[in-house]
Amino acid sequence: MTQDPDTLRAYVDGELDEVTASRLAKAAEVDPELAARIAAETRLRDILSAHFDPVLAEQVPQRLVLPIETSRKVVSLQDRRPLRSIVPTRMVRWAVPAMAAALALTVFLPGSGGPTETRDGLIFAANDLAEALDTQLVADRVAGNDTRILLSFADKEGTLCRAFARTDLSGIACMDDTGWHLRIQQGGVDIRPGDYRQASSVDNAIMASAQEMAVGPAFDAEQERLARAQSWRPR
Amino acid sequence: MVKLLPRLRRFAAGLARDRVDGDDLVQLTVERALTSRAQWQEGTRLDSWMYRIMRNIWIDEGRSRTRRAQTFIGEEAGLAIGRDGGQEAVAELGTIGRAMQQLPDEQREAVMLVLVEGYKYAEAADIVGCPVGTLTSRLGRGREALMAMLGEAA
Repeated sequence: MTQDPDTLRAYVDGELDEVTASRLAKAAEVDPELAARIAAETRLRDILSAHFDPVLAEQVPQRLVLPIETSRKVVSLQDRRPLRSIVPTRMVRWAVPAMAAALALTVFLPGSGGPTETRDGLIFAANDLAEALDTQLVADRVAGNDTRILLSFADKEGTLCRAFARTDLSGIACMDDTGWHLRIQQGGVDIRPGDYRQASSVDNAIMASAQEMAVGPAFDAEQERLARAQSWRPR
Repeated sequence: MVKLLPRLRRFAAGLARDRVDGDDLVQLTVERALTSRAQWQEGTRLDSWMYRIMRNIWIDEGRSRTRRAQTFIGEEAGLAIGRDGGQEAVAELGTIGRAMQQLPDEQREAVMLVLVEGYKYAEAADIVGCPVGTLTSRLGRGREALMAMLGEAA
């Protein structure tokens, strides 16, 4: 019995109606050549699955997961009007282009001389990062600055927090009794202008975190100056 | 959408030149899906919708990609199974991957959608945006080419 290749493949793909399929299966029982052709088609399917299916078991890279999780948070927080109305325009104006480019997927280890240090198991800003958080305002965009301050805000306890970005790490630091505690840590960003889309997962993640933490709008320049004058302590 | 990521990565691994390009393709797909999620109709399959987005991005980028792939997977690279440095991406593909890369785009996506992703002919045709008959003939040609290339392995 000769079978056209399309019918045979449709059989292997489970696309034939039951009657035709069982007729073909019966024919194959007594036709070794037909059975061999079916087996070859089935084997091709198996080989392809064996080649591609291991991808399913791999861990999905964070850069693919983060944008989805972030957008979910942003949507659920859409009714948080004050911060939303201020932050996006600010981000669009400078932070997004500033943070553009590749995500540095390095794990940052706190150590001497680096931008962080560990005290009592908590990670604090140190050295030049601590200094930038102490002194720099969002409006300060001096070329050559290693740290960009993205925005400042108060959380529900009234603690002052600042989102920042650097090439080695970015995140949100909040002033507690002993210094700038890093509540959120993300990968570093290349703060030179460059490939836009790759940075979006980091800045989206930070902005979403800021939205969750903040009470009220992000500080304007005047509020920032005032807060700096009071050493970032709650009024 | 997060649950779909492993499958989207598998599809991208079949379409793209290598795994890094594949994940770039997934990332673009996710971003486009998020920005145009209003266009997704509740009650329709999210996976088919996202496969369609990925496939369209991949096709859009097709010309430049094809040029790159041809300079990269020339005759020498195609045969370079051994590890002469700098050819990891090709070596990593293995026999199956290289055979897939030889297929015309339209056959490759048909093979991926039906034989790997397990879509029915009608669903795959809907994702690609072509008649079912067109899809099955691409699929048939793709299979024949793969069997011929894989020879004794298949």
